[in-house]
Amino acid sequence: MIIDVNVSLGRWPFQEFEQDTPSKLAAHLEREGISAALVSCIDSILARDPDSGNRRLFAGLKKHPSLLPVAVINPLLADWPDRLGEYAGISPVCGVKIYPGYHGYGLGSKEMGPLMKRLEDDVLPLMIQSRIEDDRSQFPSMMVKPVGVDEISAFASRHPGNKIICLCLSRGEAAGIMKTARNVYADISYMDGLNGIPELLGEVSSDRVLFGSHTPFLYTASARMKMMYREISAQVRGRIESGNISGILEACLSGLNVNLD
Amino acid sequence: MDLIPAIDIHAHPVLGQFSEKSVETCMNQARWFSIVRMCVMGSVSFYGENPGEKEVRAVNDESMRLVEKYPEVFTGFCFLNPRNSRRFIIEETERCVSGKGFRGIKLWVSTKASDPGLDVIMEKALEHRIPVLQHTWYKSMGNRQGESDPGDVACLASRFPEAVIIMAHLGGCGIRGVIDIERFPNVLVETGGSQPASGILETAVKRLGPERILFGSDTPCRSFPSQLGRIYGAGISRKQKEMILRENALNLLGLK
Repeated sequence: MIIDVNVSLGRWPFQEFEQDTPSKLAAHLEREGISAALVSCIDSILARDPDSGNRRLFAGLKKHPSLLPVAVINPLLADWPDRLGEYAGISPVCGVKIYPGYHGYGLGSKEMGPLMKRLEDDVLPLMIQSRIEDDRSQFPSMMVKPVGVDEISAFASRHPGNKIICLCLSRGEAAGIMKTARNVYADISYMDGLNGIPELLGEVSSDRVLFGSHTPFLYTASARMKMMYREISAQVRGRIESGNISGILEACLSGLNVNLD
Repeated sequence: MDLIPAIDIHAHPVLGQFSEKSVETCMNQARWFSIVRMCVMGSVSFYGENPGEKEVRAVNDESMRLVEKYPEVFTGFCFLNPRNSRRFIIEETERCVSGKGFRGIKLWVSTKASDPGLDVIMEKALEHRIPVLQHTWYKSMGNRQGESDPGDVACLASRFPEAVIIMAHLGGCGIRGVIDIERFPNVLVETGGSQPASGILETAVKRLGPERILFGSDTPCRSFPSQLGRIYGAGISRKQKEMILRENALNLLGLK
């Protein structure tokens, strides 16, 4: 069983996607052998207000129980606490995703404190999208810096009661953060290098490594194939592919009644 | 997953200080992911962006060592620096290609492909009927001084229409790069570079044809699974995948 923690749905001005509807995305992930996925709305990244994109996403995912909704929140917008409350009435939300680089704030900004308190109370993970594209290949007038390693480490240390999932970190970045911040988890989508995943597992506990493909920005098959390293035991593979995230999402998954067998 | 035995047209079993262990790791991982042959580019960055003649020779010496020790796994590409002397470039090409059976030339970032300094290299490639693999990228923040972009490769291709040029790093060249070289049939494209962003390979197949595309990993900078995933995950036919992963390279390198 595989639960993909890094999937998005929507339109992106710089890339065309085959999986551009909930039905196409669900069918694609099923073909790739993925049982469930945490999905957020791409349109919410560049929108002034992510709310309408979130709502469209939640409505679209209702018919697809394997696609688990994640809300995009911009903590600079004062109404986010109300929105998050409303979302809970529409659809069980499995996490909150933030895009500090795209929304123009740092993790040290004062707005992050109340958000982290709320997530801790609601037992929801915070998902930090470190980057969306290779820093060298971004659209020339849309160059966004990734969220910094030191910034994430310091932030995670200030919020030890929160579970923080970092998406699209390189192997080196992930190892650096996870060695110091025990409440940080990282997905494998951007981890690379000849022996990338096995080397990471030699440096940090496999309990905090998560399967994430960054679909549809990247080919899902690449993440699938990274789990084929022979150095990864069946037990560790099970943790990365589903065990670790199941533990984080226990409350959400039971609320959704998702069959992951 | 049903893996196709693949040929990696762009590999660095050694990148940095020579290490038997890194070579073994590379070979073991390749075997595991069904890569049956790798073209050895050499430790091209070890001596900086503009290596001297002695240094270029040392890089090629290492490649020779690998090819001699593991001829069933490695095919040599002769690393050259266009800024070295004409005489050295000719001698080094002869040493690697005539002397040791290397089947290609590798160029990195000392000189743009549009620079006339490449002429002697292209003449040698034509003489030996071997391809030239050129590191290529369109970087949003701007390329390094001597780093080629696809426009430079297009310029080179127009000046040497009989030569076969492999434009490395489709992932770094992007759609603009594909468009740049589309009208030059003597330019082939290697699939590696950057993360496996979706869609670009399908675009390349559509605009260039699968016969102009070669699988390359650029290992150890990238992993075999991440780079193979962009072939296996692409919305193209099994036959097209076989061409990209294996058949085109067999034909190009004369290994059939």
